[in-house]
Amino acid sequence: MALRSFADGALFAEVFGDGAPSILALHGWGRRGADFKQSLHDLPALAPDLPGFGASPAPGSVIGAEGYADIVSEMLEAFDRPPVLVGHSFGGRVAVCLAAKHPGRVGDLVLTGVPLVRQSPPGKPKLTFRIIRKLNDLGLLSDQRLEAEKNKRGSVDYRAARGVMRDILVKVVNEGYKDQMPRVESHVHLIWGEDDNEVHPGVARISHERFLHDSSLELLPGVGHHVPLQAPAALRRAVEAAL
Amino acid sequence: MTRPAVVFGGPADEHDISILTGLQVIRALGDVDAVYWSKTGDWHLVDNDLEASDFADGVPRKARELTFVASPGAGLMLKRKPLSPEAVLLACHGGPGEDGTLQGLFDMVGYRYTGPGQAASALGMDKLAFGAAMSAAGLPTLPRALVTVGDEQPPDFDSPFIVKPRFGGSSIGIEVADDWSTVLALKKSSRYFDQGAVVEPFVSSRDLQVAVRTYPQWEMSAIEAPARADDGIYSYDQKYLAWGGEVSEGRDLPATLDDEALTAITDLSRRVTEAAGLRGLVRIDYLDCDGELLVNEVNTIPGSMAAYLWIDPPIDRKTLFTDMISEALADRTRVFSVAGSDGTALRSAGTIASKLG
Repeated sequence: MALRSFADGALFAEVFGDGAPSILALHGWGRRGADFKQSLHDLPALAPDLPGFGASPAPGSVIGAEGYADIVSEMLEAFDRPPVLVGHSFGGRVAVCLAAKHPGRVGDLVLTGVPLVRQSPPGKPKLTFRIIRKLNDLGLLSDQRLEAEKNKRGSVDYRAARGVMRDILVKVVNEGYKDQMPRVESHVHLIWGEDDNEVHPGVARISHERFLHDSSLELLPGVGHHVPLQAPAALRRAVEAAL
Repeated sequence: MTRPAVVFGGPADEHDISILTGLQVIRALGDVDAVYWSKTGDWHLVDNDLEASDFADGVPRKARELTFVASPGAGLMLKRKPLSPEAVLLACHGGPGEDGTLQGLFDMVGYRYTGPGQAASALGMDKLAFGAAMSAAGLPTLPRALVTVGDEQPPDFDSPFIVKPRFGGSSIGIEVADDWSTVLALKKSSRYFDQGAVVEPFVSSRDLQVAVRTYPQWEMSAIEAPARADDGIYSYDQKYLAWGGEVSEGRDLPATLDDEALTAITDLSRRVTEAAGLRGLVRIDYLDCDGELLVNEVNTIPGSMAAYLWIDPPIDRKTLFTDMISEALADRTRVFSVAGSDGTALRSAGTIASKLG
């Protein structure tokens, strides 16, 4: 298991298995390509560190999943035939955008724990925070204090994100892919942890029933959001079936 | 009466981990001054009973500001009054607290401090220089080369390569690269390689780590085979910790070793201590390649002061840290010498103008 550079050093990817690669695996937010080591280590796969994670430099500007898909699309040249696309969580957002934009250049998709539809509209920030933000706008409260308040209130991912990655996170969590899903021509296998509390299996069900025209749904009992780490054997079986 | 000070934190990637080590030392010793060195390099005297979370958003409340005056007899000042610790226990990981910068500053003000002096600290933090020093001393190491962008020729060992920041003591920034062009691309893109990168062959091996202390006499701890960060993928708890230091799960302590290997590590550790000029309580890391032992690196201020390794012989934390302070008090790391500068050369020198002619 070692990294190889792609796209003039914009992406570094773990190289698994031997021979010509036929799988492209995209990891979740805050993770890296090595997440797929347990499930894909001896299959011919490339698992990039998505820009801003692991060894790959952050994007120069605030982009969403579509922007990530454009960067990752440069890796498609490394495949002799359309690769099976594996996407976990955030990586699945990118996979769907990639498949929608380049239908002839990708094979089947295996998606797990992907927020394909927005689960709930963002609520209005609490009144105290709105006051703090206003005071900062007026120059009455330091940026440091505002940052401390944001850190107190944000999710774990939000607090851990720095610089442009924090703005990218805010953009991405507000995205849904109802437009892209119907444009995916390949078969999509949705493999979901039944106990996924971060992206509820209901998201998979709705996507399967209403937005994807060729899909299958598999629920994994006793498994949560991190399927690549919690159920690597099941993920591997799904990928092998898609090959 | 003066008492020891514990300095922790510092403007370094491992600032947060250093807080954890510093608080452990403060708790074990009890009667000390707790000196927090912030991310921005400011100094603060803080309460001894703070928890790690009190530092999560920066300088804790009620911290008293200290200044540092780099003159002999001065050092850390509380409202213009020198703090005058009897000795300083350094608990800073990485960056200027471990790489000799702070050690040099403490030498200038006349502080007695724990761990190696300025030069050995700097050597321990420079993987290229440390590897070269070990090779020069005849100790077994992996070949190690500097990565220079524009250097199209790979070193004379085979891929895959392991690329490491030249300076720095943790596993932050370390990557395994499939080929030489990836090494060069990583050198260009990773901020961890801005100050330089070294490359070694990536070999199949297990890590072995041992702590060594040099006071009251040279002594070695039990040997640990830690879980490798790239073996099991990072746990959820480590999701946001880009630090592969102390991992509690999967640790093999004491490591299974035959007598021959144990003797070899003891002998090598003595020689590394001497060749690198080590002092205090340090951790030496080895690679065990199918029975062949290679010196990998030294950590001059190890995480948690490597106190967890002292199970054989069993030494408790308070004894370990008290002995470190006793060593600092017994022997200065450096005394500046002015021998030979007795004014003779100045009196007979004549005018400067005559030197310029």
